[in-house]
Amino acid sequence: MSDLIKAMRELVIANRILAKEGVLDAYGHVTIRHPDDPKKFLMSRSRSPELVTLSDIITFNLDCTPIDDLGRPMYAERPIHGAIYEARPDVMAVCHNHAYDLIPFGVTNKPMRPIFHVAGGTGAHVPVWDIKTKFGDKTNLLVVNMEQGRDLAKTFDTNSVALMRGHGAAVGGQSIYECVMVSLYTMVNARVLMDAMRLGGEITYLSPGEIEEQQKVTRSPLAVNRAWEYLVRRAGCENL
Amino acid sequence: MSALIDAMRELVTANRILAHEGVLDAYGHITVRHPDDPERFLMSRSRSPQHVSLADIVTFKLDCTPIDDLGRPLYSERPIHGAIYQARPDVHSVVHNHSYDVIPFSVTKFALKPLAHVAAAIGHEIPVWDMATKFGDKTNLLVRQMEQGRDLAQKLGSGNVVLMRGHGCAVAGKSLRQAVMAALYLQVNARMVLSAVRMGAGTDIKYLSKGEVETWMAQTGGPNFYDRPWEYLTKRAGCDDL
Repeated sequence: MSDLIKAMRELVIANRILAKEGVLDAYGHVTIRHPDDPKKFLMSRSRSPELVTLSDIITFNLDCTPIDDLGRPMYAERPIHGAIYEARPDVMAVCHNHAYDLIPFGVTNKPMRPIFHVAGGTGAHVPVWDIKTKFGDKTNLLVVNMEQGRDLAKTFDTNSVALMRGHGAAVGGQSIYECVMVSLYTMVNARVLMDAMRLGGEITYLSPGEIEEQQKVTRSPLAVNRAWEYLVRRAGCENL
Repeated sequence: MSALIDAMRELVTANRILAHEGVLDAYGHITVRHPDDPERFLMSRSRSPQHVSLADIVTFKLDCTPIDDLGRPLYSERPIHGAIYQARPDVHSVVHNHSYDVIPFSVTKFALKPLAHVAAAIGHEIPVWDMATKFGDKTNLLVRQMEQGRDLAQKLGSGNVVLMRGHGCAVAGKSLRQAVMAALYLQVNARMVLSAVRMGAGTDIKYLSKGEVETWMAQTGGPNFYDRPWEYLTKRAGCDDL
Protein backbone atom coordinates (compact mmCIF):
# COMPACT_ATOMS: atom_id res chain seq x y z
CA MET A 1 0.00 0.00 0.00
CA SER A 2 1.38 3.44 -0.87
CA ASP A 3 1.86 5.93 1.94
CA LEU A 4 -0.89 8.09 0.47
CA ILE A 5 -3.49 5.33 0.32
CA LYS A 6 -2.53 4.24 3.84
CA ALA A 7 -2.92 7.82 5.12
CA MET A 8 -6.29 8.19 3.38
CA ARG A 9 -7.48 4.90 4.83
CA GLU A 10 -6.36 5.85 8.36
CA LEU A 11 -8.12 9.19 7.91
CA VAL A 12 -11.41 7.50 7.01
CA ILE A 13 -11.04 5.20 10.03
CA ALA A 14 -10.22 8.17 12.30
CA ASN A 15 -13.39 9.93 11.11
CA ARG A 16 -15.53 6.93 11.95
CA ILE A 17 -13.87 6.19 15.30
CA LEU A 18 -14.34 9.77 16.49
CA ALA A 19 -17.97 9.69 15.36
CA LYS A 20 -18.61 6.32 17.04
CA GLU A 21 -17.10 7.50 20.34
CA GLY A 22 -19.18 10.70 20.33
CA VAL A 23 -16.27 13.12 19.91
CA LEU A 24 -17.70 14.22 16.54
CA ASP A 25 -21.42 14.35 15.80
CA ALA A 26 -22.94 15.79 12.61
CA TYR A 27 -20.12 18.33 12.68
CA GLY A 28 -16.41 18.50 13.31
CA HIS A 29 -13.56 17.09 11.24
CA VAL A 30 -10.22 15.37 11.38
CA THR A 31 -7.33 15.82 8.95
CA ILE A 32 -3.90 14.34 8.29
CA ARG A 33 -0.79 15.97 6.81
CA HIS A 34 0.02 14.61 3.34
CA PRO A 35 2.59 11.81 3.82
CA ASP A 36 4.59 12.79 0.70
CA ASP A 37 4.32 16.57 0.92
CA PRO A 38 4.30 18.43 4.27
CA LYS A 39 2.87 21.48 2.50
CA LYS A 40 -0.44 19.71 1.91
CA PHE A 41 -3.06 18.01 4.02
CA LEU A 42 -5.93 15.59 3.45
CA MET A 43 -9.51 16.23 4.53
CA SER A 44 -12.95 14.93 3.62
CA ARG A 45 -15.35 16.94 1.50
CA SER A 46 -18.17 18.48 3.57
CA ARG A 47 -19.77 15.43 5.10
CA SER A 48 -20.54 14.13 8.61
CA PRO A 49 -17.53 12.12 9.81
CA GLU A 50 -19.54 8.93 10.39
CA LEU A 51 -20.21 8.76 6.64
CA VAL A 52 -16.79 9.64 5.23
CA THR A 53 -15.34 7.20 2.67
CA LEU A 54 -12.09 7.09 0.67
CA SER A 55 -13.66 8.82 -2.32
CA ASP A 56 -14.53 11.84 -0.14
CA ILE A 57 -10.91 12.73 0.62
CA ILE A 58 -9.60 15.97 -0.92
CA THR A 59 -6.03 17.33 -0.91
CA PHE A 60 -5.48 20.91 0.27
CA ASN A 61 -2.56 23.32 0.34
CA LEU A 62 -1.75 24.63 3.82
CA ASP A 63 -3.48 27.91 2.88
CA CYS A 64 -6.60 25.70 2.54
CA THR A 65 -7.08 26.07 -1.21
CA PRO A 66 -8.21 22.72 -2.64
CA ILE A 67 -6.24 20.79 -5.24
CA ASP A 68 -8.72 18.14 -6.32
CA ASP A 69 -12.14 19.17 -4.98
CA LEU A 70 -13.93 18.54 -8.31
CA GLY A 71 -16.54 21.12 -7.33
CA ARG A 72 -17.68 19.22 -4.25
CA PRO A 73 -18.81 21.19 -1.17
CA MET A 74 -16.06 21.66 1.39
CA TYR A 75 -15.92 22.28 5.15
CA ALA A 76 -15.82 26.02 5.85
CA GLU A 77 -13.45 25.70 8.80
CA ARG A 78 -10.43 24.34 6.95
CA PRO A 79 -8.28 27.20 8.34
CA ILE A 80 -8.29 25.58 11.79
CA HIS A 81 -6.28 22.78 10.23
CA GLY A 82 -4.19 24.65 7.67
CA ALA A 83 -3.04 27.26 10.20
CA ILE A 84 -2.02 24.67 12.80
CA TYR A 85 -0.06 22.68 10.17
CA GLU A 86 1.64 25.93 9.11
CA ALA A 87 2.63 26.86 12.65
CA ARG A 88 3.51 23.38 13.91
CA PRO A 89 5.72 21.23 11.64
CA ASP A 90 5.59 18.48 14.31
CA VAL A 91 1.80 18.14 14.06
CA MET A 92 0.75 15.39 11.63
CA ALA A 93 -2.99 15.29 12.35
CA VAL A 94 -5.61 17.74 13.60
CA CYS A 95 -9.13 17.24 14.94
CA HIS A 96 -11.71 19.96 15.41
CA ASN A 97 -14.66 18.88 17.51
CA HIS A 98 -17.65 20.11 19.51
CA ALA A 99 -17.54 17.39 22.21
CA TYR A 100 -20.39 18.29 24.55
CA ASP A 101 -18.37 17.51 27.68
CA LEU A 102 -15.57 19.87 26.62
CA ILE A 103 -17.57 22.95 25.76
CA PRO A 104 -18.38 23.87 29.41
CA PHE A 105 -14.64 24.30 30.04
CA GLY A 106 -14.42 26.87 27.24
CA VAL A 107 -17.12 29.11 28.69
CA THR A 108 -16.19 29.07 32.39
CA ASN A 109 -13.04 29.81 34.32
CA LYS A 110 -12.70 26.13 35.25
CA PRO A 111 -9.43 24.95 33.73
CA MET A 112 -9.28 21.72 31.74
CA ARG A 113 -6.45 19.70 33.27
CA PRO A 114 -5.71 15.97 33.14
CA ILE A 115 -6.88 14.15 36.26
CA PHE A 116 -6.27 10.58 35.19
CA HIS A 117 -3.34 8.93 33.53
CA VAL A 118 -4.79 8.03 30.11
CA ALA A 119 -5.63 11.73 29.64
CA GLY A 120 -1.99 12.73 30.15
CA GLY A 121 -1.74 13.26 26.40
CA THR A 122 -4.01 16.28 26.79
CA GLY A 123 -0.96 18.09 28.19
CA ALA A 124 -0.32 20.26 31.22
CA HIS A 125 -1.81 23.41 29.71
CA VAL A 126 -5.02 23.72 27.68
CA PRO A 127 -5.43 27.34 26.51
CA VAL A 128 -8.82 28.83 25.69
CA TRP A 129 -9.11 30.86 22.49
CA ASP A 130 -11.93 33.37 22.16
CA ILE A 131 -12.57 34.51 18.58
CA LYS A 132 -14.19 37.66 19.98
CA THR A 133 -10.95 38.96 21.46
CA LYS A 134 -9.52 39.83 18.05
CA PHE A 135 -12.48 39.55 15.68
CA GLY A 136 -15.29 41.18 17.67
CA ASP A 137 -18.63 39.95 18.95
CA LYS A 138 -20.42 39.85 15.60
CA THR A 139 -18.76 36.76 14.06
CA ASN A 140 -20.65 33.48 13.62
CA LEU A 141 -17.81 31.91 15.66
CA LEU A 142 -16.67 29.83 12.70
CA VAL A 143 -12.98 29.96 11.77
CA VAL A 144 -13.39 30.66 8.08
CA ASN A 145 -10.25 32.55 7.03
CA MET A 146 -6.53 32.07 7.50
CA GLU A 147 -6.22 35.18 9.67
CA GLN A 148 -8.61 33.65 12.19
CA GLY A 149 -6.93 30.25 11.89
CA ARG A 150 -3.50 31.76 12.52
CA ASP A 151 -4.79 33.60 15.57
CA LEU A 152 -6.12 30.30 16.91
CA ALA A 153 -2.81 28.57 16.08
CA LYS A 154 -0.99 31.27 18.04
CA THR A 155 -3.05 30.49 21.14
CA PHE A 156 -2.71 26.75 20.43
CA ASP A 157 1.05 27.40 20.57
CA THR A 158 3.08 24.32 21.56
CA ASN A 159 0.17 22.57 23.27
CA SER A 160 -1.81 19.50 22.16
CA VAL A 161 -5.28 20.89 22.80
CA ALA A 162 -6.89 24.34 22.70
CA LEU A 163 -10.49 25.07 23.62
CA MET A 164 -12.50 27.48 21.49
CA ARG A 165 -14.93 29.58 23.54
CA GLY A 166 -18.58 28.75 22.85
CA HIS A 167 -17.56 26.43 20.06
CA GLY A 168 -15.38 23.39 20.77
CA ALA A 169 -11.76 22.37 20.59
CA ALA A 170 -8.76 21.87 18.33
CA VAL A 171 -6.47 18.90 18.93
CA GLY A 172 -3.09 18.23 17.31
CA GLY A 173 -1.07 15.00 17.33
CA GLN A 174 2.31 13.78 16.15
CA SER A 175 0.38 10.99 14.42
CA ILE A 176 -3.24 10.38 13.55
CA TYR A 177 -3.33 7.77 16.32
CA GLU A 178 -2.21 10.29 18.90
CA CYS A 179 -4.68 12.86 17.56
CA VAL A 180 -7.57 10.38 17.88
CA MET A 181 -6.52 9.17 21.35
CA VAL A 182 -6.00 12.68 22.71
CA SER A 183 -9.32 13.87 21.24
CA LEU A 184 -11.12 10.91 22.82
CA TYR A 185 -9.47 10.96 26.23
CA THR A 186 -9.65 14.75 26.57
CA MET A 187 -13.42 14.31 26.28
CA VAL A 188 -13.41 11.47 28.82
CA ASN A 189 -11.23 13.57 31.14
CA ALA A 190 -13.79 16.38 30.93
CA ARG A 191 -16.55 13.99 31.98
CA VAL A 192 -14.54 12.56 34.87
CA LEU A 193 -13.39 16.02 35.95
CA MET A 194 -16.96 17.38 35.98
CA ASP A 195 -17.98 14.48 38.23
CA ALA A 196 -15.03 15.14 40.54
CA MET A 197 -16.07 18.82 40.72
CA ARG A 198 -19.61 17.74 41.63
CA LEU A 199 -18.24 15.74 44.57
CA GLY A 200 -16.75 18.99 45.87
CA GLY A 201 -13.59 19.80 47.77
CA GLU A 202 -10.04 19.74 46.58
CA ILE A 203 -9.14 17.79 43.42
CA THR A 204 -5.78 16.13 42.88
CA TYR A 205 -4.75 16.60 39.25
CA LEU A 206 -1.86 14.81 37.55
CA SER A 207 1.44 16.49 38.40
CA PRO A 208 3.54 18.07 35.60
CA GLY A 209 5.98 15.15 35.86
CA GLU A 210 3.17 12.59 35.61
CA ILE A 211 1.75 14.34 32.55
CA GLU A 212 5.14 14.35 30.85
CA GLU A 213 5.63 10.63 31.52
CA GLN A 214 2.10 9.77 30.40
CA GLN A 215 2.58 11.65 27.11
CA LYS A 216 5.35 9.16 26.37
CA VAL A 217 3.00 6.26 27.18
CA THR A 218 0.34 7.77 24.88
CA ARG A 219 2.84 7.57 22.02
CA SER A 220 4.15 4.06 22.79
CA PRO A 221 3.29 1.18 20.41
CA LEU A 222 2.05 -0.97 23.34
CA ALA A 223 -0.62 1.59 24.25
CA VAL A 224 -1.46 2.72 20.72
CA ASN A 225 -1.73 -0.72 19.10
CA ARG A 226 -4.01 -2.08 21.81
CA ALA A 227 -6.37 0.87 21.66
CA TRP A 228 -6.36 1.12 17.88
CA GLU A 229 -7.49 -2.50 17.37
CA TYR A 230 -10.28 -1.90 19.88
CA LEU A 231 -11.44 1.42 18.42
CA VAL A 232 -11.28 0.21 14.82
CA ARG A 233 -13.48 -2.79 15.59
CA ARG A 234 -15.96 -0.77 17.64
CA ALA A 235 -16.34 1.60 14.70
CA GLY A 236 -16.92 -1.38 12.38
CA CYS A 237 -13.85 -0.55 10.30
CA GLU A 238 -11.83 -3.76 10.61
CA ASN A 239 -12.61 -4.78 7.04
CA LEU A 240 -12.27 -1.34 5.56
CA MET B 1 -12.93 -30.62 30.45
CA SER B 2 -9.94 -29.84 32.64
CA ALA B 3 -10.09 -27.24 35.38
CA LEU B 4 -7.53 -25.23 33.42
CA ILE B 5 -9.61 -25.01 30.26
CA ASP B 6 -12.66 -24.12 32.38
CA ALA B 7 -10.71 -21.32 34.07
CA MET B 8 -9.42 -20.00 30.74
CA ARG B 9 -12.91 -20.00 29.26
CA GLU B 10 -14.34 -18.14 32.27
CA LEU B 11 -11.49 -15.64 32.00
CA VAL B 12 -12.27 -14.93 28.34
CA THR B 13 -15.96 -14.51 29.19
CA ALA B 14 -15.08 -12.22 32.11
CA ASN B 15 -12.93 -10.03 29.84
CA ARG B 16 -15.79 -9.60 27.41
CA ILE B 17 -18.43 -9.02 30.10
CA LEU B 18 -16.41 -6.25 31.72
CA ALA B 19 -15.78 -4.67 28.30
CA HIS B 20 -19.43 -4.93 27.33
CA GLU B 21 -20.58 -3.34 30.59
CA GLY B 22 -18.13 -0.43 30.15
CA VAL B 23 -15.99 -1.32 33.17
CA LEU B 24 -13.02 -1.92 30.85
CA ASP B 25 -12.46 0.11 27.68
CA ALA B 26 -9.41 -0.17 25.46
CA TYR B 27 -7.44 -0.69 28.66
CA GLY B 28 -7.62 -2.59 31.94
CA HIS B 29 -7.44 -6.32 32.59
CA ILE B 30 -8.76 -9.26 34.61
CA THR B 31 -6.81 -12.30 35.79
CA VAL B 32 -7.52 -15.57 37.58
CA ARG B 33 -5.28 -17.68 39.78
CA HIS B 34 -4.18 -20.91 38.09
CA PRO B 35 -6.60 -23.65 39.22
CA ASP B 36 -3.84 -26.28 39.53
CA ASP B 37 -1.03 -24.11 40.92
CA PRO B 38 -1.67 -21.22 43.34
CA GLU B 39 1.81 -19.86 42.53
CA ARG B 40 0.68 -18.90 39.03
CA PHE B 41 -2.02 -16.82 37.39
CA LEU B 42 -3.62 -16.54 33.96
CA MET B 43 -3.87 -13.29 31.99
CA SER B 44 -4.34 -12.31 28.37
CA ARG B 45 -1.48 -11.06 26.27
CA SER B 46 -1.62 -7.28 25.66
CA ARG B 47 -4.98 -6.86 24.00
CA SER B 48 -8.16 -4.89 24.63
CA PRO B 49 -10.43 -7.05 26.81
CA GLN B 50 -13.25 -7.01 24.26
CA HIS B 51 -11.07 -8.99 21.84
CA VAL B 52 -9.46 -11.52 24.18
CA SER B 53 -9.83 -15.13 23.08
CA LEU B 54 -8.59 -18.47 24.46
CA ALA B 55 -5.45 -18.34 22.33
CA ASP B 56 -4.43 -15.05 24.02
CA ILE B 57 -4.15 -16.45 27.56
CA VAL B 58 -0.61 -16.52 29.00
CA THR B 59 0.48 -18.14 32.29
CA PHE B 60 2.54 -16.06 34.74
CA LYS B 61 4.40 -16.72 37.96
CA LEU B 62 3.32 -14.54 40.89
CA ASP B 63 6.43 -12.39 40.32
CA CYS B 64 4.86 -11.68 36.91
CA THR B 65 7.45 -13.41 34.73
CA PRO B 66 5.69 -15.17 31.86
CA ILE B 67 5.88 -18.92 31.31
CA ASP B 68 4.43 -19.27 27.81
CA ASP B 69 4.30 -15.80 26.26
CA LEU B 70 5.89 -16.94 22.95
CA GLY B 71 7.24 -13.43 22.44
CA ARG B 72 3.81 -11.82 22.37
CA PRO B 73 3.44 -8.29 23.82
CA LEU B 74 2.34 -8.32 27.46
CA TYR B 75 0.42 -5.89 29.67
CA SER B 76 2.94 -3.78 31.56
CA GLU B 77 0.83 -3.59 34.74
CA ARG B 78 0.98 -7.29 35.64
CA PRO B 79 2.38 -6.43 39.12
CA ILE B 80 -1.06 -5.18 40.21
CA HIS B 81 -2.21 -8.76 39.91
CA GLY B 82 0.90 -10.70 40.94
CA ALA B 83 1.41 -8.67 44.11
CA ILE B 84 -2.20 -9.07 45.24
CA TYR B 85 -2.06 -12.85 44.68
CA GLN B 86 1.19 -12.96 46.68
CA ALA B 87 -0.26 -11.00 49.58
CA ARG B 88 -3.71 -12.58 49.61
CA PRO B 89 -3.96 -16.40 49.35
CA ASP B 90 -7.77 -16.03 49.63
CA VAL B 91 -7.96 -14.00 46.40
CA HIS B 92 -8.55 -15.98 43.20
CA SER B 93 -9.24 -13.21 40.73
CA VAL B 94 -8.18 -9.59 40.26
CA VAL B 95 -9.61 -6.83 38.03
CA HIS B 96 -7.80 -3.60 37.21
CA ASN B 97 -9.92 -0.94 35.51
CA HIS B 98 -10.25 2.77 34.71
CA SER B 99 -14.03 3.03 35.11
CA TYR B 100 -14.91 6.64 34.35
CA ASP B 101 -17.48 6.71 37.16
CA VAL B 102 -15.03 5.46 39.77
CA ILE B 103 -12.05 7.71 39.02
CA PRO B 104 -13.64 10.92 40.45
CA PHE B 105 -13.57 9.28 43.90
CA SER B 106 -9.83 8.68 43.58
CA VAL B 107 -8.99 12.36 43.06
CA THR B 108 -11.24 13.90 45.75
CA LYS B 109 -11.66 13.38 49.47
CA PHE B 110 -15.23 12.13 48.92
CA ALA B 111 -15.28 8.57 50.31
CA LEU B 112 -16.86 5.95 48.07
CA LYS B 113 -19.12 3.62 50.07
CA PRO B 114 -21.83 1.11 49.14
CA LEU B 115 -25.34 2.57 49.13
CA ALA B 116 -27.23 -0.43 47.73
CA HIS B 117 -27.18 -4.10 48.70
CA VAL B 118 -25.88 -5.36 45.35
CA ALA B 119 -22.74 -3.28 45.85
CA ALA B 120 -21.94 -4.75 49.29
CA ALA B 121 -18.97 -6.66 47.84
CA ILE B 122 -17.03 -3.44 47.39
CA GLY B 123 -16.66 -3.29 51.18
CA HIS B 124 -17.62 -0.84 53.90
CA GLU B 125 -14.42 1.21 53.69
CA ILE B 126 -12.47 1.68 50.44
CA PRO B 127 -8.86 2.85 50.70
CA VAL B 128 -7.27 5.17 48.13
CA TRP B 129 -3.68 4.44 47.08
CA ASP B 130 -1.62 7.33 45.72
CA MET B 131 1.44 6.18 43.83
CA ALA B 132 3.10 9.58 44.42
CA THR B 133 3.22 9.01 48.19
CA LYS B 134 6.01 6.46 47.95
CA PHE B 135 7.23 6.73 44.36
CA GLY B 136 7.20 10.50 43.78
CA ASP B 137 5.28 12.71 41.38
CA LYS B 138 7.31 11.93 38.24
CA THR B 139 6.01 8.41 37.52
CA ASN B 140 3.69 7.65 34.60
CA LEU B 141 1.29 6.22 37.24
CA LEU B 142 1.55 2.72 35.79
CA VAL B 143 2.26 -0.11 38.25
CA ARG B 144 5.05 -1.87 36.40
CA GLN B 145 7.30 -3.10 39.19
CA MET B 146 6.65 -5.64 41.95
CA GLU B 147 7.71 -3.07 44.55
CA GLN B 148 4.91 -0.80 43.35
CA GLY B 149 2.46 -3.70 43.18
CA ARG B 150 3.30 -4.73 46.74
CA ASP B 151 2.76 -1.19 48.00
CA LEU B 152 -0.66 -1.21 46.33
CA ALA B 153 -1.48 -4.66 47.77
CA GLN B 154 -0.58 -3.37 51.22
CA LYS B 155 -3.10 -0.55 50.83
CA LEU B 156 -5.75 -3.03 49.69
CA GLY B 157 -5.23 -4.84 53.00
CA SER B 158 -7.88 -7.46 53.63
CA GLY B 159 -10.53 -5.65 51.55
CA ASN B 160 -11.85 -6.22 48.04
CA VAL B 161 -11.31 -2.80 46.47
CA VAL B 162 -8.57 -0.20 46.42
CA LEU B 163 -8.83 3.02 44.40
CA MET B 164 -5.71 4.26 42.61
CA ARG B 165 -5.40 8.07 42.51
CA GLY B 166 -5.68 9.52 39.01
CA HIS B 167 -5.73 6.07 37.51
CA GLY B 168 -8.53 3.65 38.43
CA CYS B 169 -8.87 0.77 40.85
CA ALA B 170 -8.01 -2.81 41.70
CA VAL B 171 -10.76 -5.25 42.65
CA ALA B 172 -10.14 -8.63 44.26
CA GLY B 173 -12.52 -11.57 44.53
CA LYS B 174 -12.55 -14.94 46.19
CA SER B 175 -13.72 -16.22 42.81
CA LEU B 176 -13.61 -14.84 39.29
CA ARG B 177 -17.35 -14.25 39.31
CA GLN B 178 -17.18 -12.37 42.59
CA ALA B 179 -14.41 -10.14 41.22
CA VAL B 180 -16.43 -9.40 38.07
CA MET B 181 -19.56 -8.62 40.06
CA ALA B 182 -17.67 -6.42 42.52
CA ALA B 183 -16.00 -4.49 39.67
CA LEU B 184 -19.31 -4.06 37.87
CA TYR B 185 -21.25 -2.96 40.95
CA LEU B 186 -18.41 -0.71 42.07
CA GLN B 187 -19.10 1.23 38.87
CA VAL B 188 -22.89 1.10 39.31
CA ASN B 189 -22.55 2.23 42.92
CA ALA B 190 -20.24 5.11 41.96
CA ARG B 191 -22.82 6.25 39.42
CA MET B 192 -25.57 6.13 42.07
CA VAL B 193 -23.50 8.14 44.56
CA LEU B 194 -22.81 10.73 41.84
CA SER B 195 -26.56 10.87 41.17
CA ALA B 196 -27.31 11.37 44.87
CA VAL B 197 -24.76 14.21 44.97
CA ARG B 198 -26.38 15.79 41.90
CA MET B 199 -29.72 15.62 43.73
CA GLY B 200 -28.16 17.92 46.30
CA ALA B 201 -27.45 15.33 48.97
CA GLY B 202 -23.95 16.63 49.63
CA THR B 203 -22.35 14.12 51.96
CA ASP B 204 -25.68 13.31 53.65
CA ILE B 205 -26.22 9.91 52.00
CA LYS B 206 -27.44 6.79 53.79
CA TYR B 207 -24.89 4.07 53.09
CA LEU B 208 -25.09 0.40 54.03
CA SER B 209 -23.99 -0.19 57.59
CA LYS B 210 -20.95 -2.33 58.35
CA GLY B 211 -23.32 -5.02 59.64
CA GLU B 212 -25.38 -4.99 56.44
CA VAL B 213 -22.24 -5.36 54.34
CA GLU B 214 -21.02 -8.27 56.47
CA THR B 215 -24.40 -10.03 56.44
CA TRP B 216 -24.65 -9.69 52.67
CA MET B 217 -21.14 -10.98 52.10
CA ALA B 218 -21.73 -14.00 54.32
CA GLN B 219 -24.23 -15.37 51.80
CA THR B 220 -22.03 -14.93 48.72
CA GLY B 221 -19.79 -17.92 49.34
CA GLY B 222 -22.14 -20.58 47.94
CA PRO B 223 -21.15 -22.21 44.64
CA ASN B 224 -24.30 -21.07 42.81
CA PHE B 225 -24.63 -17.57 44.24
CA TYR B 226 -23.67 -15.80 41.01
CA ASP B 227 -25.38 -18.17 38.54
CA ARG B 228 -28.26 -15.83 37.73
CA PRO B 229 -26.26 -12.68 36.93
CA TRP B 230 -23.57 -14.74 35.23
CA GLU B 231 -26.03 -16.24 32.71
CA TYR B 232 -27.41 -12.76 32.05
CA LEU B 233 -24.06 -11.04 31.70
CA THR B 234 -22.66 -13.85 29.54
CA LYS B 235 -25.55 -13.56 27.08
CA ARG B 236 -25.39 -9.77 27.01
CA ALA B 237 -21.70 -9.98 26.15
CA GLY B 238 -22.47 -12.43 23.34
CA CYS B 239 -20.47 -15.20 25.01
CA ASP B 240 -23.17 -17.83 25.51
CA ASP B 241 -21.77 -19.93 22.64
CA LEU B 242 -18.16 -19.47 23.60
